[in-house]
Amino acid sequence: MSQPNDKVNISLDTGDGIDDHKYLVFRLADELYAAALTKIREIIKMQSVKPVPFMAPYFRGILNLRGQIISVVDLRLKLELPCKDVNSGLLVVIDTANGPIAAVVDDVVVVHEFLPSAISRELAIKTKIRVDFFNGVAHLNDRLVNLIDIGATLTDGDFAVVKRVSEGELKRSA
Amino acid sequence: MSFDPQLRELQLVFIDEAKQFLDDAEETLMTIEASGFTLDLINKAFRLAHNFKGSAHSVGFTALANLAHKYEDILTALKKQLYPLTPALTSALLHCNDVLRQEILILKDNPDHESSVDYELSALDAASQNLHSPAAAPSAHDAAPATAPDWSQGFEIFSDSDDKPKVATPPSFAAVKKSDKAPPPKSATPKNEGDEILKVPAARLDQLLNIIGEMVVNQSILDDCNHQATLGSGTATQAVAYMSKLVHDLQGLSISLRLVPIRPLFQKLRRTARDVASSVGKEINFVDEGDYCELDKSVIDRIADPLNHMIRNAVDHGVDTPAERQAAGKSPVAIISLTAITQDDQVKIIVSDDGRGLNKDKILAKAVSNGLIQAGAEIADDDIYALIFAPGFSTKEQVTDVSGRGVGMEVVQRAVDDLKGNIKIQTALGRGTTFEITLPLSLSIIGGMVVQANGQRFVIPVSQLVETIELNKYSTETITGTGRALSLRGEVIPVYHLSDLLGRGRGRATPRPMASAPQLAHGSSTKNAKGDATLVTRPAVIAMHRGKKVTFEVEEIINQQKIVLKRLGPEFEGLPGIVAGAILSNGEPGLVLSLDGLIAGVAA
Repeated sequence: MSQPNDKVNISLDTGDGIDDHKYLVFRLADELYAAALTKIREIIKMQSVKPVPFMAPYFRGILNLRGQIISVVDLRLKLELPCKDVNSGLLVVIDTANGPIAAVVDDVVVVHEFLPSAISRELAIKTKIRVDFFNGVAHLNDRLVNLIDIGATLTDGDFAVVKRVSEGELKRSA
Repeated sequence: MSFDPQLRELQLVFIDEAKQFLDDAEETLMTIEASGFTLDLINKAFRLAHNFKGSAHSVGFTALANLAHKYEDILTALKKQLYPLTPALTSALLHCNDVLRQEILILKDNPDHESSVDYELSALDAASQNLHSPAAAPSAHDAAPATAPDWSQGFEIFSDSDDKPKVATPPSFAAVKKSDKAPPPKSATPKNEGDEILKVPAARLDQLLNIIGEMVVNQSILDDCNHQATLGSGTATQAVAYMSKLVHDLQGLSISLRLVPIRPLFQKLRRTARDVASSVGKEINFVDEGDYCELDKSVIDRIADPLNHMIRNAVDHGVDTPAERQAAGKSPVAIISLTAITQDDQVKIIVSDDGRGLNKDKILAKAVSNGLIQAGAEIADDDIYALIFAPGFSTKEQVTDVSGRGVGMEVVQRAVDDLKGNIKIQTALGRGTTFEITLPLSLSIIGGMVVQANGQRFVIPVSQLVETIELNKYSTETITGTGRALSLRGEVIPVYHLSDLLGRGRGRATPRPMASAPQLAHGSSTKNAKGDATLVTRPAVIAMHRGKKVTFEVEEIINQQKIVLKRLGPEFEGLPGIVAGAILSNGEPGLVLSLDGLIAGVAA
């Protein structure tokens, strides 16, 4: 069960009520990414994630979030970035079209406001993000931040790698 | 019609109520037909029609109100006993019910739909005037000339939005067929399940509030203990014990909030039986029992169609014709009985007829010709009967309109599987057939067997299991072409390893045990670690798949516990055999399996 101290000490509540341009900036394999704050439900520490058979490698499994079962997607693998130790990182719980999904990120950095005028739609840095999930790049201090449509990224594609167990495979293993 | 949100809201309330009105009215009519005319019943039907009329008027559904008015006129005449309630008139009234129900469904999604029920109005007139009664005085609403439609055919004419009154002529048979096959697209709009409204007895809500009230008090006691650091004290222990009782009560009560009586479904089935019997020329006496039993709303919704299939099957296939019955020395009136019994956390629904019984030889011959089994195969009787649930099976030589498209029983089996229930057949040639469906009361809490496979815990609903065994005590052998099999009390049962079925080696990150049997038991701290002497155990569970036993070897059987089912997200769609999630007693998330779904692709 998640205890209150699982909460990560970064305030998602920005107080002024206008969150449209606020983004959560997080780190993945030494690059910075940002997702719209309105999509983010909470950030929790890494906890016991149970794998699910037949699922693609980036699907890390399921976890128990206060009695609700939530899918965990490894954002590094999903974006084809080099994978690190599976036990490190933080879980960012995102509201997606499929309901809440927890994304594994290396670290969360800051909540920052990027005004539309500060966002460049051009692909300034090399990125593996699909164009339709890429919302542009912006500067944060001296670094570039990739703005992504995190909900669409997480729910994209087929999660299951096996839809049916084939007879051939079974006989081989029997 | 301009959009008026307030009126729309009232209309939706009306639509919700109206469904109940119509169900009640139909039930009343059926009761009158079955058990005879009483003034009480007619009065009840009259009140229902009257209320319906009033409400329909007030929300602007004038056409519906007019039809209800006509309905009411006829009931008034019946009340005054100016003419008898003939079967034809009952059919006319029932049909009128159906039309109102369809109209309401359309109006639910499209408030601007203009109902035109002139045809039904004149038809009702005709049905009553046919009885040559002075009481069926023309009302102000009838416009079209009345001719006598042939009610025995039954027909479906849908009113559409144009204002042209339809000419009331008896529908031709061709027209009937057409409307049967192509229902109007209007009614095909999918309904949003989320908008569903449940009726809950006020007493249950009061109970709910009471329990929650006590929980709040108890919580503050615990908070207090927490502040004063006296959580180990007697007061705290007592509060925790009481809290767990309250939670248990709350759990039971919250499940009961979703329980609804099975009565309306039984009523619909009675109607089905009646309609089918009259269309195939059979005489039946429909007996139901236990309609007060309560089931989860979603269970009732999902079992409704399969039961409908079964009743149709029973009347059309199961029951013999009056002539056949007399030749066999039976009463010409067949008995179809529908019974519901609540037992612990299960409900049994029994559909029984005293008809022909299942014909083993015919089933065998059919199964052979369909390629389901090989000719000359030795099959136990129960297995033969189970063949009727196989896909594409139908023994009736002639496919009838009523049933016999060869999909019916397969649908029943699938629905029962989905609901984590099971179905049994008892039959005797010439004496009848009984189907016994066992369903869990609620879908949200089940008994689960927690097992380990691929080093991970999975839940198997206990309802799927027949028994658990220790494989080392029996001989298993490898059979060419089919894999491993186990010989248990003279039966040969195929054996699969759950870890293989769950894709051993194809997932990643799970530390996996050796593929070769025998397996070492994991988790020495759990129950089955009785001592060092039984280090090598090969626990397995036996489940039924399409009426046949199948053995699933597991790494370990952890325990049996109550499982609260959790819905999984759309990303789990299509995964073989994974039906739900659950939080296990150690607080970890687990997956609930359907063994049936898991081996559907491998065991033919």
